[in-house]
Amino acid sequence: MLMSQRDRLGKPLYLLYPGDHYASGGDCLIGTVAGTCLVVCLYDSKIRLGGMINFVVPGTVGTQGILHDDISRIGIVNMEYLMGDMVKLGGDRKRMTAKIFGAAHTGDSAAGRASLPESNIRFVREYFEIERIKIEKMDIGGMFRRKLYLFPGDGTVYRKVLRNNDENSEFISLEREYVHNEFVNSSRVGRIVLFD
Amino acid sequence: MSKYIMIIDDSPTIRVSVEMALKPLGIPVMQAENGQNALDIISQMKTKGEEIALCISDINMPVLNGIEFITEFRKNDRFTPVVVLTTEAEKDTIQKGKDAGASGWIIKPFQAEDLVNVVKRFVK
Repeated sequence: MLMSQRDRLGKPLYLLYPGDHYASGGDCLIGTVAGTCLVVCLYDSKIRLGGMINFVVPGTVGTQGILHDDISRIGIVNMEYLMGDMVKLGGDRKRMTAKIFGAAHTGDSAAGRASLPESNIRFVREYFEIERIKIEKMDIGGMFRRKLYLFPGDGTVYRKVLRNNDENSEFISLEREYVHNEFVNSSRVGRIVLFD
Repeated sequence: MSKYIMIIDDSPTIRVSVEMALKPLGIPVMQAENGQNALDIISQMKTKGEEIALCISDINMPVLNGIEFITEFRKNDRFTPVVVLTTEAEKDTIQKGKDAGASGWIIKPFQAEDLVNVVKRFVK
């Protein structure tokens, strides 16, 4: 994540790279580019707190659903990173609403991973259904990347469709590397520490 | 009378995932959506003579978080194991959990088999 770069509005900008997340209740902007990955924006209107995550579920979510699927735990834990940070700032998932972007067929997913966007879309729909969190806006799939800015103080998201998929080429290579690493590490598990 | 495993997490997805992972053990499960909710349920269970064998608790939760839950729980129960299941991996936070009386700390993502093995270690 590139932090505190001043944007044209004079507000601090937190620029998320693929795999990053950030939450804030301050007067700032959180931005990213959504390609093959999912970008989820959450907003808790009671305390005017917003957050964004850019991530991928590295594999095919089975037809039995995300609770029966080993690969989905990677997606679930990614959502927990953002939710956890928002809860630490006073947020409550019962009050949150979601806006979801990305999962586009940008050309990168062709190498044996053509179904990746559909699989990620299936994951995110089912996840928010189980969490009983209202999806206010869903702009997913398609052929093009999306440049996104979230105002975390009021939950507004500005979106620009990048008709030329070569725009923001830094993001293209970062996303490619991130998705590759997520596939390589898809069987990872966390540490276990026993105290006695 | 059966003892219960109490799953405390504000995420329905996590609560159901943990319950499904523990199914092979055949131990009945109760769910709570935050630390305060868990204390209330445990208090009601005690009046009915029901017992908790183990708590599995998240850390970041509204109302009463995991560390606060363990601290409150330990005021009345020094021995029932409390295993933390969280994305929090900071040494300081883990130490706070240990100091509050946690018995173990599992950092997500977890595999069902590992969780079952940890529960088996505490619940004979």
